[in-house]
Amino acid sequence: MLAEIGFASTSLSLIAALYAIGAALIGGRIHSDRLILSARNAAIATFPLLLIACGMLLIALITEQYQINYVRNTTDPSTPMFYRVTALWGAQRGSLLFWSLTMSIFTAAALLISWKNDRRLMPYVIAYMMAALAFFLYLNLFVENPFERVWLQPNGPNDNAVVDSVLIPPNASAPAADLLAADASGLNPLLRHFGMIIHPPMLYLGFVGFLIPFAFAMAALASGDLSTNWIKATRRWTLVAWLFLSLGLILGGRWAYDVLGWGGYWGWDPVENAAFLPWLVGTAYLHSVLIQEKRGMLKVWNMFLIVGTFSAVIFGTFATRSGLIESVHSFAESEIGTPMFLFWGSITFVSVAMVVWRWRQGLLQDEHHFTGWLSRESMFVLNNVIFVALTLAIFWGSFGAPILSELYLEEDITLGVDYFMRVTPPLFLVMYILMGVAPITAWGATSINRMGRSLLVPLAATILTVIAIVATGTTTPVAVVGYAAVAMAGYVALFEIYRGTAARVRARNENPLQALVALFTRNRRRYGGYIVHLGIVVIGLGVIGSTVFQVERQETVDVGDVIQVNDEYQLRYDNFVVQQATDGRFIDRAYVTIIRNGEEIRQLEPRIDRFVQSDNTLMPMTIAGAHSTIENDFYVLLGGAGDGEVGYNRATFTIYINPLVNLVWWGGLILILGTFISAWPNETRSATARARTTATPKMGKRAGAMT
Amino acid sequence: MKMRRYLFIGLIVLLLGLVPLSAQQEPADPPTNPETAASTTDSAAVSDDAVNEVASRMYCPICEMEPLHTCRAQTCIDWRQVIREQLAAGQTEDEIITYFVNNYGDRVVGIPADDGLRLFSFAGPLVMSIVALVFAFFTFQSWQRRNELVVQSATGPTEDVHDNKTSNTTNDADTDYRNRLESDLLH
Repeated sequence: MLAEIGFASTSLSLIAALYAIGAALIGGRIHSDRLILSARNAAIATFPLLLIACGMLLIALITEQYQINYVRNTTDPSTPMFYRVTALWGAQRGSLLFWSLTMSIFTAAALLISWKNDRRLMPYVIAYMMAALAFFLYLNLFVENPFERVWLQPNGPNDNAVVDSVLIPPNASAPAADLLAADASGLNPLLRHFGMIIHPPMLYLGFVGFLIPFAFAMAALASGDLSTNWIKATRRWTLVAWLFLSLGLILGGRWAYDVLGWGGYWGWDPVENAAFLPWLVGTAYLHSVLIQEKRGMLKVWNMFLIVGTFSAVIFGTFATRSGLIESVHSFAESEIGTPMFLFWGSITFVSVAMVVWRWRQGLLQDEHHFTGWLSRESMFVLNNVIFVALTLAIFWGSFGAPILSELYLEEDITLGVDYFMRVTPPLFLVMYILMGVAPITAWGATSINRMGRSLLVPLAATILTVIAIVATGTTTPVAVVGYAAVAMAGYVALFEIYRGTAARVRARNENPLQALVALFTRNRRRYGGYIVHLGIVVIGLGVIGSTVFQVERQETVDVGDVIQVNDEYQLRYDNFVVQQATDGRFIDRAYVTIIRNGEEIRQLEPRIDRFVQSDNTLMPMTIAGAHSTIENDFYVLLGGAGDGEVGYNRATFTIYINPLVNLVWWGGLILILGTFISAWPNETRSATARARTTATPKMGKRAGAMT
Repeated sequence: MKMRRYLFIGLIVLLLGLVPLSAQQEPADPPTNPETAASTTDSAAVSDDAVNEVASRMYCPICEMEPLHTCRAQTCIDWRQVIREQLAAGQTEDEIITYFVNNYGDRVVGIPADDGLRLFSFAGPLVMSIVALVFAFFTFQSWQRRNELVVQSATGPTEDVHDNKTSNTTNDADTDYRNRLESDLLH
């Protein structure tokens, strides 16, 4: 019954989405408010329908309905309740349904919030959103159905007695429950981690969230209302999507660091890069769209950026789910590959064609003119160049070169960390320099004197920092240059916050705290942005430290022996036990002691969890022992990469010392805080105050008065 | 305006100048291992660190983008043993990597060993970055042209130039900053 209800509910949401597309387009064409309202209601109805569908799958997972293939493939009788719930998005079919649900949530919320203010855009917004949702629902129903069950049918198709079908085939019966339970394979052990549990939903929310600005942009093109209305309507949605995507990336890094057992958090793997690409284009868009809001410029470019962001979302989904990453040939063999490729290609082609169409009509003309080379517009354009260059370089390394090489040169190549560590650091360096320079330039134009005055304090602080870094023994040129650029960006953000606060203190006699709060309250977007910059700065410090100065040692020792890790640290092997957990897994646990400059500082317990699989083989999962401080992580793995020794008498340990790595996570938290501040609604800016009028030169003139 | 343009171009050149400078730097110099250079016949005497140093420059032939030194696949375990034996036989890192590339193709290394494929790999981002820069240059040029037209046709200076000049003449930097801040906060 659960499968039938879930299937019916998903089918109804597809029907509702298709109806919404038709009603919205016809309603828009004949100016029928009733039809458009009906389309909106149908679009909103997809949310409760998909909630029911996901609810049915969740109940099936919790109540162990192993006749449903998805339940049998992601759980088994020993799976703890927590992982039963998270198995909802633990594999392709469930995650696609969950993706559709998140899309319907965003759609319903955007339609309810923007309904009154953006009526002219609504028919097209509904049509675009529902077209995207309908595609994923099509996948859910006809390609990757999570409600499919296994049946025993004598004389089934091709003389096969086992048939997969949602509905009961003629003369079929369900296999015995105990057989199904015994055959269940359980969730991949690598996914049993808190970071991995919430990392996919965060990524999905980020990916799906970009549908909102994309749909509004396309609606603006379709309707011809190419004022800044669509940007104002979607600014917070874009920030929310960006926030979730950032969170997803950070949590993914944390999961890799804790679970994958290689001492790092970012491996430039194509799957990671597929999620990073929309973040890069989306970040370029977040900056570039400011120029359109403030100066009425770069309208065409912003359209291309939002199209690029959503296109990157769909491409990333296609690449990771279709098998394209393994081989260009495997995507064509996968059931999901061809439809996803066609969807990605068509949505990108149609969107680009619409931008070009309106561009040629002259409806995307800039309202302001360039007044100075040293202006914030110029800096933002350069910032965009860097983000686009990073996007293209990473796309090329992950997908472009390997695919073209395999297709046309008949050579299978890997562009690995070596490639990315040569190509991306210079671009990131320029990004940090621009992050330092751009905030002190002005809209319109700035003078060298003014820029110099604004830069004086941050520059002096940077020079002092570099002197301090070199004086404490860090002389690696790459690190010193990197730290200087990152520190400069941080000092500029801090100094801008200080200057704004100090100006208020002097002008209004407020105390510094009052002035600071008032400053953030009056322009959350600007100062929240500085906090985001500070988060990126802290992440940058962590990345440089943990990449350039990582220490790695591997050695096999007898119990009681000591490994000399470097001049400062030693590791002593103390003990070893084998245990069995209540969920059936076997645990090999080593006890080791960290010694720093002759003093014992902490005992760690690196371990290997061995999960019993349905075929009675053991699947190992290495859990690191880590001693974390703000200075570094002392990170120990047991057993090497599968070929080390694991036992009481002798054991192999891989030890990493990762300087400043925790700044990556702390920077992530600061970034989240900054995005919250930026996205928080302004009290003074009510919906009615935000009159939806076409941007006029007068508006642009006011906005042109610079910072 | 000309002075500013030259300064702006100078800034771009400076930023771009940093790209090749920084590109020449290796991310980290791996610690030197005497075993890689030493000639010995006992593979057990070769440390795990020496093996990992070579293996970290290579990739698993089966798993996608999995570095050889961390991969648990049996093939990778076997390959690490081959590396250990070759190090014991006195071969250098480059010789060992060349051996694997010759036998298993360019897929086993992070950057193709073949010159043509390497050029192909690096030409892509270089060409695309140049295209992005050219695009930015033409964007600036187009803005500049339009601005000159506006200045020629107007009776007075454009609003932004005027704003800028006005604020430039202000002696009180703090007042100037506060005014600009207040102006920005209005929007």
